[in-house]
Amino acid sequence: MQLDIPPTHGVLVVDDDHAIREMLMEALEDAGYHVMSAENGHQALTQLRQVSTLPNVILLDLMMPMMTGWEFRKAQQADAQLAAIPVIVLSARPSMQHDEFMMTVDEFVQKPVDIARLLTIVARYCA
Amino acid sequence: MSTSEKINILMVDDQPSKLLSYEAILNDLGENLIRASSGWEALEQLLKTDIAVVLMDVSMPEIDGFELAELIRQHPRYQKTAIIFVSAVRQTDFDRLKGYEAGAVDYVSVPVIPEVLRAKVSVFAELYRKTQQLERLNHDLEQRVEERTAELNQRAEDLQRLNAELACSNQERQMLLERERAARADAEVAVRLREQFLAIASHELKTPLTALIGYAQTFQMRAKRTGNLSERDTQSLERILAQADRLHRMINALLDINRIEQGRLCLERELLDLGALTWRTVTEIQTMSSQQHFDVQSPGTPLWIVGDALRLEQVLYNLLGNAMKYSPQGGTITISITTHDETICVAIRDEGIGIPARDLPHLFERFYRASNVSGDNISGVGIGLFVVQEIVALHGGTITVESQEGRGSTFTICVPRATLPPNGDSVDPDHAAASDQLVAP
Repeated sequence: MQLDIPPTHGVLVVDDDHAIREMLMEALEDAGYHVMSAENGHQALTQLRQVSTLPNVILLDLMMPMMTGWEFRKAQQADAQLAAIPVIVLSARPSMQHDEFMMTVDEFVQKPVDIARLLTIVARYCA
Repeated sequence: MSTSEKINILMVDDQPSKLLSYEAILNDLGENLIRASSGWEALEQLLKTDIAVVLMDVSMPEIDGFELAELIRQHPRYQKTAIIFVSAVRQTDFDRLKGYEAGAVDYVSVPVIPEVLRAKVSVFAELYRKTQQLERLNHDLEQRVEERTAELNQRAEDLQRLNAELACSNQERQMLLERERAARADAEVAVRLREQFLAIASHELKTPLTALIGYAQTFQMRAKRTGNLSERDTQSLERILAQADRLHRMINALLDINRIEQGRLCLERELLDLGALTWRTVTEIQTMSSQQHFDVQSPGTPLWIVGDALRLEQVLYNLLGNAMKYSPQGGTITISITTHDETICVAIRDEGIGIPARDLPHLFERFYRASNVSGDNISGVGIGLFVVQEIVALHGGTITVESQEGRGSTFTICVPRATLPPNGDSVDPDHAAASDQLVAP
């Protein structure tokens, strides 16, 4: 049996809101990406540890039950296999320029998200 | 009380001649002399009158002097009355002792020497008189002490009552202070709750909005790629996005109210054309109104200022919305833009119900509502004149109002002009070259 050749560009979407997850999946798939999704930080970690090909970038919501975006990031950085994956934070909270946490992530996009802008940013990390 | 009041001296003897002689001797004393010829008569007299001194014969028939003396002494009234025995009987020491035991105070021996008798009676009379005096004075004193005590008691009572009243009013004042403090604490809690609510609400509202805008944009991108949509479809899609954007701005406005009130509002700083911004805002708001007609008068040239497009739109939305709300009968709302040396002014005039004169000085105060209106915030952006004034002030501008009840109102905002960019080219107002932030003081 031939293994499916996964697309070269993969994105993991982590957000507890169902509608936002589906919308981002649609937008990213339209643009040619392979998309995985998780409801919270815990599910995201589980998926990352099970999948055979790691995604190129993670779109991360912050306020989630079970494991928040902050907690996920901490766990990700502690895991040698996962630490290198770049993270783009998507949040309704206004960005704090001097926020310590924000300095550990690669990008911040304010919700509601401008899709065109998001796709430009994602492309940068999937090149 | 006269000290020369006569006192009563009782003379007891069964022999009338003796009584006469006593009387003769004691007359000079000037007191009241009462005669009694027997023990029983004596007792009668004693019961009738106050007797100061009793002069009695020791040996009398029926009852002798000693027995009489004993009887007299038993009476509480006469326990200390002077009794002088006149004794013819040869007194032995024993007898004399008996006499004293029976309560005699003194003896006069027979034959009676007038001076001696007079002297003795006089002494006891004086003693009696002095005792009476003393008792009277005592009584007076007691009375005065009583009066004084009653007075002091009364004063003490009054004082107590005043104290109680004072304590009561103190308590009342305490209660009022407490209530005031509680009310203030409640108000602070309410403000904090509202802040929390607004923060949570705006966050929650942005979630479905994110999905909405994301889907609409993705849809739009797909349509552009495939070219499958009709012109009407494309237009509808554009309008969906426009309204979603408007919703987004409203939610941000809610947060702004909070931030302004906490002094935490940040303004963007960009070069923009106030004329174009005004036209855009009026056009949008015109679609919401069927009753009023909007008339914009402005010079055709670009009117450059430095400011926050989003916030200025909020300001115009608010003022235009007010104009609409307070001219329910319809009519024209005139927007005139004028340029001056240093400023550009936008005046919004309506032909509505106007504002009462007494409200005008308070119009821009937080929470103020004019006296001729009722009800909640206008539908629309939902920020009040307080916030409008804050935003205009942060732009270095001013806002003024003129109004006449029944005729209408004119709100005028003036903001400083911007100096043109050095190369004189027209600049796209929505994407200025520089953009930094101005924080509210």
